Amino acid sequence: MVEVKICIGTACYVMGGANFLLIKEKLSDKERKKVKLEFVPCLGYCKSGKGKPPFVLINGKIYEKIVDVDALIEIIRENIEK
Amino acid sequence: MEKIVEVDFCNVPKHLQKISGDVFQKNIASDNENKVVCTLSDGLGSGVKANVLATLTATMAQQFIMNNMDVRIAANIIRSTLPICSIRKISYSTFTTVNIDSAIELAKVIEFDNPPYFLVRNGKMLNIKKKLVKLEKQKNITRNSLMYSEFKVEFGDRIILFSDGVTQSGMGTKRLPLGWRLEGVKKFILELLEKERDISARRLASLVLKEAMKNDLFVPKDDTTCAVLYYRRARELLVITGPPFDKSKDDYVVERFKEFKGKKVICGGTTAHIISRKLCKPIKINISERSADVPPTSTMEGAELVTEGILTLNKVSNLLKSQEFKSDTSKDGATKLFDMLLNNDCIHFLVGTAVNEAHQDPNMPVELGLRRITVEKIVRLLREVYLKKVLVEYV
Ligand code: FES
Repeated sequence: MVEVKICIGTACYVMGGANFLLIKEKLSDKERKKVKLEFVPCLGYCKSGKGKPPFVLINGKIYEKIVDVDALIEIIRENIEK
Repeated sequence: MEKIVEVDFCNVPKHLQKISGDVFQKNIASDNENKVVCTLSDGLGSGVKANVLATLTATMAQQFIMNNMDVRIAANIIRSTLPICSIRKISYSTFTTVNIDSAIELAKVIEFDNPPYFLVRNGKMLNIKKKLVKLEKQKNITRNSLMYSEFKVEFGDRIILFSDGVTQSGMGTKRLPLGWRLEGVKKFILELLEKERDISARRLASLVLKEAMKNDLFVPKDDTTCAVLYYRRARELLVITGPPFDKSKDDYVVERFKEFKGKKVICGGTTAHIISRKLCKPIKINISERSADVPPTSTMEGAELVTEGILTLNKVSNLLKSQEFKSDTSKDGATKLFDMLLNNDCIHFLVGTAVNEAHQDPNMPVELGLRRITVEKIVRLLREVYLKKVLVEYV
């Protein structure tokens, strides 16, 4: 199971996180079963200065500056295959 | 228990007119915050000219009554300022002014040619004795008197004003050949109050207007306005936004949240997180909510509403400024908060002043600004335009 926590805090939201709200529709049924999706408020990374928003936490690892939904799906797929 | 006078109105201009010839104004007296003064003025004719005349009348009436001028003198000045219709020999606008001092629970009403106001108490229409006040005769004016009434207001009283667009709505139609008339309006209001005892001033005014529009088959033949003053218990709202400047104040914020008796809103992810952690109440994001410009709201036990912070506040500030009431279509965090602000009377803001540096990044595609500045804008609008009692505390 891949655990995905998508930040929809202010900084992440304006830097592109808003588009991630559509992600469920973009995953196949098979993939959806393997992914636990969760939207969360500010993860705190934006304030730490480490990396740039939008941030997504996947299986405990933080990913930064994810340009769009497709890029996010790509990362999720990689994690499914792992 | 804090009591307030809720004042609201609803208005549509005559068909094909962009601007209404009915004008409603409300103010709180500068020397007495318990005194609410409002005027409904109907300018003769319609369109811009009627609007200018009605605005002139309402503004004068408001100022004179707020400054405790004798009604006779006030009415005379207004009459002699307004131009007179050369054919009908009547002055160019009619008006009703109500002022209520809630500290002494006294209402005073001046009526100059508008349909008579309604006073509803315990579901019944009350007949108030009115005094005919003769005015100085003026050349070419046929109307030389006004009606004055004064009464003790009681908790739960509603005073309802409307322009003749309401009473005459439907005139000439098969269903209401003589129009809705006072009797029809009265029946409608009493039946509505029977069903919805606690109906707000805002909703009552809008439903009366909707019915009048329906009578006119949605092509209003005149400017149509209904205004309601409702003397009731004040509704209190607490809006907590932003983490405190000093972390040691977190507990204080949580305490305020826990202790507050009215409705509560949390505005900001980090703020919600602090409260949720300390009270061990989980937050759930409502992902089904889609809005182009504001992140979705969340749900947390004990809070009426949990929204994102600065983007939501900025949108609320814009909504308040534009005075657009289209909020029942797309509901997002901002329109929900906007509704809550308008539906409550005493609003307490608890504003954390910690600055989120991530928001000040020049690479951000939108200007986020500072929370404090946005809150200040909202507070000013709520006080000045919406006549709310607002208390602000910074932490
Ligand atoms: S807003 Fe996403 S980490 Fe802060």
